[in-house]
Amino acid sequence: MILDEQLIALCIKNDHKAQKELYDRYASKLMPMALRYAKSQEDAEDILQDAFIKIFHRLESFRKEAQLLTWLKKIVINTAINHNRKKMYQQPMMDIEKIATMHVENEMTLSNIHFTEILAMMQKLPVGSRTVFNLFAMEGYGHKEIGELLGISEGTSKSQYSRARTLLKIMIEEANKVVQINISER
Amino acid sequence: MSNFDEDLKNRFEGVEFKPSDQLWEGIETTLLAKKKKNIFFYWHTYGIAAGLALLLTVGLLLKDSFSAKKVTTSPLAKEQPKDQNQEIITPVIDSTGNQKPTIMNQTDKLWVNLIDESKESNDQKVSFGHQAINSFINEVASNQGLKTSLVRRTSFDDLGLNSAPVQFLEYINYIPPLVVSMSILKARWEAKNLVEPMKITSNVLVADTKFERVLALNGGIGSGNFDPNSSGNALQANSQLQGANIGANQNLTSLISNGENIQAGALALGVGFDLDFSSKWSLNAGLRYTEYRFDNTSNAYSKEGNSLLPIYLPAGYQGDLVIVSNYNITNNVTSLAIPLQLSYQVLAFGKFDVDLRAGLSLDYFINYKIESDLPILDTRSIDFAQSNLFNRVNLGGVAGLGFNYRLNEQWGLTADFFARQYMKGLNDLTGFSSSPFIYGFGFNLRYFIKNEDN
Repeated sequence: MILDEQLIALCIKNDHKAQKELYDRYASKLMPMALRYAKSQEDAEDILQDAFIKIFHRLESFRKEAQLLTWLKKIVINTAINHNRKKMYQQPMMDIEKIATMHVENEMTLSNIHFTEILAMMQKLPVGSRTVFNLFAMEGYGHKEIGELLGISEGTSKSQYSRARTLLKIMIEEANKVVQINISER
Repeated sequence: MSNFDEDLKNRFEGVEFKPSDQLWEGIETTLLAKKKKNIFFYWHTYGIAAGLALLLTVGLLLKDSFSAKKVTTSPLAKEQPKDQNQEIITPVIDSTGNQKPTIMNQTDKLWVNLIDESKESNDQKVSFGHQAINSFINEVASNQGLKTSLVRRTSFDDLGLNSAPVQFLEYINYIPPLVVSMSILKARWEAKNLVEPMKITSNVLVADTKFERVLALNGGIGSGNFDPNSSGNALQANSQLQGANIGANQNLTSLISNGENIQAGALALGVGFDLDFSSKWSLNAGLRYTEYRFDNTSNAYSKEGNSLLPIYLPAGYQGDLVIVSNYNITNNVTSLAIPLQLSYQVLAFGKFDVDLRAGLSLDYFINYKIESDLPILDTRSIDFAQSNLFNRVNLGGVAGLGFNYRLNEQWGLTADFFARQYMKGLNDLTGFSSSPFIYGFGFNLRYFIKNEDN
């Protein structure tokens, strides 16, 4: 199998086969990330399409000492942020002071739920909360950094994150209930 | 990060999800479309850039050839050795032992700017400092059917020379293609004044001065702004002679003139760094060594100590003055500049790209030298400490078109056409407002500072 480094060199020379090979090698790995930021699969594929076009145009600036997958993920994240930012203008985020706190007595059980269901839950979140949650919980960005990236305050980032978390917990608990009913019915 | 977040994150670890087949089709279509667009844009923009470069080159060549036609150097002046600059016309004594009614005596020396007979269209201007000579020339010219015209008559007082007697200058314009021969004029003058033929040993005549000339600075360039464009640089300088044997009405005057400055362009070399804001925009800064050249003409040189130096009036002169036929001078100004420019990439093709750039540049002038094509002359070097010619530090706007080649991720080479516009200034002495403009070509070594966001 051709090495990533050789593949990159060929892609820089606009080798069509190499571009397809790079896509085949990494598209499936990047797709879940795009799905987390998107509201649907079509939306995720739009993000991934834009990201791959950027990737092919910027491969020259890829540092060989870096991990290719990490670099590709960073481009997908940046593309997703740009993609969602446009939608956030139409659906501005507010700093929610009082979030309806929900007492989740039971331990959240995620193991019973398929990741595609979790994805579907994340896609139901409002675009702002979804983006903030992904950046904070999944990518490990700080609220200050998220604020700068999305053009919102640190407080707004925190409240949007809490909102997303609460909504996700409600959805997961609902899903767990369904799972429990199914088990007891058997 | 809470356990919930951690659990959620773990659920996505190593997960893969195959996108639909349409995704690759969409990417492929976009890539091919961009490639086609790039190729079109490549020819389109490079075509325009090549056209501009061609126009610039042709423009420069035409300008150079124009200036070359306009300026000619007297072959006699070129041939003349240094030690023969002094003598002019042998005084004549008639048969009665009396001095002939000439305009000169033993100590007076005729001071003229001769006509180069070999050039038809050139040197149509002849300046004579002596009233009597002027009258005579007018008369001869009139007899020969030559058109003459008085183009300047002025008092020296208005040029700021104190206690100078009122004198006047005259220009006589000989309309081409008529050529006036100095030897004919001389023969007629000799015949008119009943003197025996005099010998002209040289067409360059030096007048004795009875006082030391001070540095005749004619003001700075554009109030401290470097300005190789303004025709106002070529001021008329006047040197006053007060020969003991020259009567009050026969004071000699000189007229030094430089033509209009003609830019020959600039060449720059430098190093710099680039900070990319995005794939299109970047900020460039660095250090550039630049050599500017502009051409002119002069009809005089000065004897300063043991050196014979060309005269470019804004740079001033000292010592004795020698009037000759026009010769070419080249002004070389070198500077170190710190440019700060914003550039926008208009096209990219592999490792090549082209950008448009604009910004500011701060110049520190290192030296200024004036060279001539008259072999007897040395190079005049301007001492910035002694001269108020222009400020050593100048600020200007700069814009250009850069052709870039990326050597690797960090380093690149740039060849660029640039135009520079200095800040507008007003020369206090001449009242000329100058906003100098320079164009040139340069090379830069570039270091790219990577912006992680991109």
